[in-house]
Amino acid sequence: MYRIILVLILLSWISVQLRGQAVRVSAHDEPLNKVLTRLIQEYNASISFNDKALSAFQITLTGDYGSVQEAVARLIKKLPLQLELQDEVVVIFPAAEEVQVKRRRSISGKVYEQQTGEPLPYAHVLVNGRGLVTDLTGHFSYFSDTDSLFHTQVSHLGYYILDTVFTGDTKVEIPLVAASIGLSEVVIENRVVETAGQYGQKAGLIRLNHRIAGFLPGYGDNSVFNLLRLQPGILASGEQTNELIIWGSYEGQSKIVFDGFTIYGLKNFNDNISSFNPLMAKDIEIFKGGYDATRGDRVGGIVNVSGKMGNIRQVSFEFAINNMTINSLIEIPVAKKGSLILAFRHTYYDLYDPEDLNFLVVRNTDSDSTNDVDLTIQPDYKFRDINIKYTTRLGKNSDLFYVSFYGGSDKFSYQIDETYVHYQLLKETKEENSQSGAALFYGKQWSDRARTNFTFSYSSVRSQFTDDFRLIFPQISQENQVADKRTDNRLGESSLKADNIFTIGGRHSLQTGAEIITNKVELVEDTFAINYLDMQNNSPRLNLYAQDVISINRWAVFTPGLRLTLAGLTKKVYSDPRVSLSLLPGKNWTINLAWGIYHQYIARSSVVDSGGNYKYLWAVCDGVEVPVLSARHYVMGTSFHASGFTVGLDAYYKKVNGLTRYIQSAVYHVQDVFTGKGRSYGVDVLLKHDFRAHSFWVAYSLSRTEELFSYFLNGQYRRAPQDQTHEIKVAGSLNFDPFFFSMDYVYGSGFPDYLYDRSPTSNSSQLPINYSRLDVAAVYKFLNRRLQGEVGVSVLNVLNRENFKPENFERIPAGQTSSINLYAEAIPFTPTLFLKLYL
Amino acid sequence: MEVVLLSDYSASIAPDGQIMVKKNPKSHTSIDWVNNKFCFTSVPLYVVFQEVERQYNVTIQTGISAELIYTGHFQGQREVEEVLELLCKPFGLQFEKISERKYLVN
Repeated sequence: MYRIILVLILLSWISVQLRGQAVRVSAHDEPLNKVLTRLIQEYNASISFNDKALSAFQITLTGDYGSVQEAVARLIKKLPLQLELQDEVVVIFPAAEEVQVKRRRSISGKVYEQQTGEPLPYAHVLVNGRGLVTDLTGHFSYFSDTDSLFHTQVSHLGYYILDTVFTGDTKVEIPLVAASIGLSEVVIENRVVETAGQYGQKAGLIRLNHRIAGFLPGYGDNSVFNLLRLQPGILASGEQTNELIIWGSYEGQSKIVFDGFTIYGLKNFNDNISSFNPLMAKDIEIFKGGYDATRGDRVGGIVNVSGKMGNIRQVSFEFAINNMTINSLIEIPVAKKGSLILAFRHTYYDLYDPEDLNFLVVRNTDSDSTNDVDLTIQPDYKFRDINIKYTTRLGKNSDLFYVSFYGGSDKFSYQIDETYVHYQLLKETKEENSQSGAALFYGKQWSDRARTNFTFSYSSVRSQFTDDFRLIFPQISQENQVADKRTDNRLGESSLKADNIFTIGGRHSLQTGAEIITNKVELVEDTFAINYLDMQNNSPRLNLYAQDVISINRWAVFTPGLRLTLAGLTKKVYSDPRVSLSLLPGKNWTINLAWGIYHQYIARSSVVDSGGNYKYLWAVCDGVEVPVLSARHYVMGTSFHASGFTVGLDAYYKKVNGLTRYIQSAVYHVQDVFTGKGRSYGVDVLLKHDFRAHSFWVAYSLSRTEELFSYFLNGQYRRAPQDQTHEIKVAGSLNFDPFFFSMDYVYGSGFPDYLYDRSPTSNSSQLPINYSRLDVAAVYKFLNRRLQGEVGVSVLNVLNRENFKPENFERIPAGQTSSINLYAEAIPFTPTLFLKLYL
Repeated sequence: MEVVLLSDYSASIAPDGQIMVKKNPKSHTSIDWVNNKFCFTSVPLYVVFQEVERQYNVTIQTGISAELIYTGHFQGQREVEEVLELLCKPFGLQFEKISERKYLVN
């Protein structure tokens, strides 16, 4: 018994002793994680900690402690750490307030296409609920004072959405998988293809993926224009291919930028060849109006097309052939980070049976049919263009560098030699356009927060027009030379600019830029061998802009900006303040508001002859003869996405000042330049439904564009020549991989028609024809191991509607009382077969 | 990327595609679930999560960096959420039950 008591006393003493100096710490300049691991091993201590983070703290400490908790508390004293006892486990975690002071975390990265390594510009990146957009090089960066983990969702139109989480201070590379090309072999389950980002990101902005274009009707040429014309707010009726008409803008007020240089419209009498190679196109942004201060030099809309960067992994080849053009593109990897792209297009009409083609047909729809004449004309059309582009990544940040060249030319001509009862009509019209463009781009990443894009660009367009028109009266052996005209118009643009983007904290992104730009215009016009116009002018300018993209909170982004232009020719500074506000009241709902002032320093002046025919010529705004164009945009839009449905609504009001029109009227002996102003307002409504891989949309535009020129004697606004009250577009594509079916339908209510006259009650007349066209296409994709490609059939104007194309409309005075209306027919019923191969 | 593994090394592929090679520590190499012992020494956190997934038959969605390294030791029968709390707290991570047997850690 005594012994037992003794043992018990001894045991309790030992246990007291053990408890008293239960934990002994002995460390000399040792990382904290090691010290703690030893506690676990020696004392079976229950501790939970971030091993790597704690290895950063060196510890020198010797002492005995009553418990593990006490020892740990002593160890982390003065360190930015805290402990907590949780279910008897000592949990060590970073001290909350200390971390904030310590540093701000960042995430930066690059988004690219998995298959080709192509960077994806303008991809939408959602980091912890805040929206960002990647730049041209696919880069983005985000900073936060509070977040240590970044829940990141990356989406790009037509690609599978990627959802992931990154820890702070990481550089990431994010590959996205394209949704439509060659996916028979790749199966991605439970992933959603991004389609919602198309509308509503900013006021008046539409974003398009070039991949969709391939499935729409239209010669299988992937024509970007075929896709553009189906978007709300872009005029499709009348098949404008020369110039885009966006929200009632006049010719020359909207521009297309490809790879940084401006591309002009080509004469194109049916809209199957767009003015740049669709195989080169990667990402398309349409700024219908109300765009920010980073863009300028136009008072209408801007379409920005980013070109392909080229495959850096392997040589790839695309070849497309249809009954109109051959188109080929080759991408060759150069060194490890570079790629060279060559693309070439050529028309060959010779394959056509000329008897099948009546491109220009007289369609005189007057009620008075006494003067009606039928004319069948065989025009000749040749077109070719070439793209060369070399892209590479430089330095440790893989800074993007590219040089891109473009050259294209087309020749359009027709001859008429027809004998009528009293006279013989001889007409020879030729139009030749050539254009070239080049850009050199270098995007320098200075740090995670600063980037500068340097761009040098050059572009030039030249159009030559000759018209020789004679009427021969054999009975009285007289020859009337009705017209003998030669016009040579050139426009050149050179620009050097630097665009900077600074990320200042999580809330601000500052964008600034400077540009030196000049436009050179030459215009020579001879009539009856007499030179009566010879203009040559230069318009050097300096542009500066700054804007701050302020994320006020998670659901509001405010962007104030200012663009200043010092115009050398008028010696004036033009200031363009622009403001926009984007609100996200709900997860799928956006509201955008924008307001801005816009100036344009080159004008495409309209030239109107007695017949009411329009021709457009480029001129420099010198402030004397041709005023600087100025405009004010008010844009309001909203969009809503839910389970495959997109509803978009854009309303706009635009005022334009400084329009010029040159009137030549032999009847009234008028030959003068008149100035005018315009206003347009309207609403675009879009309904889109994506169901599985199928897609349908309806776009409706209700608009009014009015003008008031000084020659309008009643001083009242009237409809502008490009005004279209209603336009409805329906498009749908069905994806039963490998079969794809698509259709689109466009209806336009018609253009107004005004002849120049001197009566004060000049009233409007409507051109008789409204517009409607239904197109269908079917594509089969074959994905053989060795050969991939698609064959398809496309039928344009299935119902063979006789449409009117104002661009090619000409009223020819044939006698004193009669005139011939020459309607260049818009696309007739046109079935096409096409083949596309990828290697 | 290729790696050669020696006898007391282990390799694992991280969510970001990197291959991580680790020398297996002499002691406390893995966990002793049978005795309700939870013991990891210098192990990537995602590996720990994988073990938790296996042991508790749950799915843990996460995209955490492979560079998060964890050390911890504790005993006793615990609910999965208690374990997740003990694992997440040192890293300032949050977990969230998104559905039955499914957690999101970020």
